[in-house]
Amino acid sequence: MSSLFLIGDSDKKSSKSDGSNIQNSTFSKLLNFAPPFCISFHQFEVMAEPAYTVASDSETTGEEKSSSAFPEIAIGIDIGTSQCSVAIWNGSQVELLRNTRNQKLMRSYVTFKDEIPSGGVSYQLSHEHEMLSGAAIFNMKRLIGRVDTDPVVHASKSLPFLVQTLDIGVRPFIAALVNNIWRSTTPEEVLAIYLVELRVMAESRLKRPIRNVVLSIPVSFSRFQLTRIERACAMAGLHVLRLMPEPTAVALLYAQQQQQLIHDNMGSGSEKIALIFNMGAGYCDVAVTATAGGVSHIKALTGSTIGGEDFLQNMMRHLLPDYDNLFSSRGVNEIKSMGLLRVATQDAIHKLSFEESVQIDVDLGNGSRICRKVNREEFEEVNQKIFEKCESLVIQCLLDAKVQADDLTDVMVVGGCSYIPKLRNLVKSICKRELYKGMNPFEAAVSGTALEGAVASGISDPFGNLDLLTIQATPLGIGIRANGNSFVPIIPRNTTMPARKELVFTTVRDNQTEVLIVVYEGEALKAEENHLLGYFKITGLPPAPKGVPEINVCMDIDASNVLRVLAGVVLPGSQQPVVPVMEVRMPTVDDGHGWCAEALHRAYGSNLDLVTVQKK
Amino acid sequence: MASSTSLYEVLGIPTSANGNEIKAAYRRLARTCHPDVVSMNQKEMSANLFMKINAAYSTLSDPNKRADYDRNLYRWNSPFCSSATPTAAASVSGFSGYNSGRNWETDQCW
Repeated sequence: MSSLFLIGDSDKKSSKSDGSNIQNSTFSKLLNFAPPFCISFHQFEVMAEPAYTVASDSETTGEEKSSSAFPEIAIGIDIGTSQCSVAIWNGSQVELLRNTRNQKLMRSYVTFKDEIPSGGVSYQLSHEHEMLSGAAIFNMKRLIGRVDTDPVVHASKSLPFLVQTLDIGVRPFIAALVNNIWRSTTPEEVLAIYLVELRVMAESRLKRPIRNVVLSIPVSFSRFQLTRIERACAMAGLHVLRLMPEPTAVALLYAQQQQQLIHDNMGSGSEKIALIFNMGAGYCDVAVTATAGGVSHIKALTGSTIGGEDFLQNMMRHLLPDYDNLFSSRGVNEIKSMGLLRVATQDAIHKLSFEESVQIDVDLGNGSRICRKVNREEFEEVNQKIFEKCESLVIQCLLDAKVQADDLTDVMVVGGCSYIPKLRNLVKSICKRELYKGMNPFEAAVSGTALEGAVASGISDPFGNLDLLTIQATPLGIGIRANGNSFVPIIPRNTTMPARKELVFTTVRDNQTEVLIVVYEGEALKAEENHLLGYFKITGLPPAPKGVPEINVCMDIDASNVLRVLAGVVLPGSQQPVVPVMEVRMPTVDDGHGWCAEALHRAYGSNLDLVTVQKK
Repeated sequence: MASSTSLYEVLGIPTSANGNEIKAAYRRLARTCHPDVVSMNQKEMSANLFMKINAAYSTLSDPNKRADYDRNLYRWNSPFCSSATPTAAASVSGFSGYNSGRNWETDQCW
């Protein structure tokens, strides 16, 4: 009973949890004591309070389109690791919204210096160093939804605020230094504070309440990370209409531009294949899209957690080889020195995009001073591995899309790192093309989300500028643990969405009565190296020799990107399932349960294992 | 049921269609059938339809898969095997009777 009528955990629907819980218990009592009343009560309840009928506990996205006669246009938000921006379809074109300081691109950070935390939308830093005093949290996009065994979290320990790990697979502890106190927070909270500022800014510019948003997200984000982004949005009172992988947002902008060219009689209607390389401070993503008639068909997506932050950290360690030792104690003075070095190095990297060499002169205040010349070659050498990774991402994406460099019509390099000469050159040389010049590399992703926001809000444009559609592909494979400790993908990556695929498995032991279905997302061959999405048992299998029961596991991603896993058991010669089919919405894992898979393994070993069956 | 419809019929094109015509048909159908462009209450139906369209497209747009499919199509359409139908990539899954929604009828699909 309770699970059927659960109203959604207070975690996710905090705004209405109080009232509904009371109603919920009343409801249960009525159902328990007076069955004849329950139908009418139910009907009454639905009519009186439609919001009461929440479909599922794990539901984080609700209605897709606004049902009102005057649809509210959703805004597009690009939350970058380093900078954020907001854009909206203004009726004739995409417009980026400016804050009170007339900025379109705002620094992504929240400072806890005062009673009320403030972020980079409203707050004016007196100096860059203020952001690095320990009081400000930034790079939330690198931290959100990650556990403390994640190498990315470990790399974040060199940031000038507190990132503490216990290395057991729980959420990392992060804190800002306020009046000599480490004040703890979470990446979701920091992001929510920032999103509230963006929302206030957008509401004051547009003079109406803002609720619906389309956000761009890195390709490599797991479904668990997506739930954390949705959670941060919910905390900020925003409803996520769609989460768009960043390069697919750029692809949509490109699709619209090609449509406009046709309207202006300057373009041909034939299919264009474009490669989009998007690298910001935190992530590097690549997509290949086939575009014609306003339809952007995503052929392949690939991404990795590498970005400007890695260039910066490599350079800081290059300039100060003793970096990790010097800053391990994290006192106030160390944080200050760390901040000084960070600013100087960041400056130098920016300049190296336009100059062959730069002079660095920074007094770290702890007796050491760095005074030297750095040239572009040195920068490229120090970051050799990152450039190699970028290369491999581009090659991989072309391969996955089954596209040759010669087939490409256009190649785009966008994002915060797009002016780095080495990056531009490597993309140009793999793709054998000059780069597309038709879009602002810093505004492309947010413009795409604004277009998607308008389209998803049901807005149409008399000139056909919104006759757009993105056919998305899955960025990561989804499958289960089977054949020992292997990851067996059921929906491979780059599958067109919506998607439904199934595979048949069987038992590994005679008279095995239970099987454990552990669902992962990722690309690694070993199950535990992927992102855990959830797990459940099928019980009550009738005794049978190993290899006989057919365990059919089906995965379904619907149009709203909701993943459901269905599993059922049939015995040969029968069409009827021997036990009720399990249907589970994923992800089901909650925050910081990186240790779950390990615990499952410890508890059950291989007793509940599965192996794949070759389909006849 | 879907299995009796050829992939060409799914895309609404003649069996002689060339690569560009296949792509154009796919995009034209996507513009009307993709869940993103239909109204709220049709999403589930359109998701199923679009998956079928996409399966047809992914077979017919790949020259090798299309050749295989065409061979089977020809064989099954010959007078000796008239009762069978080609399934290829668009084969109906064991869960197809399950209407992809949260409607508690899961066990009816088996």
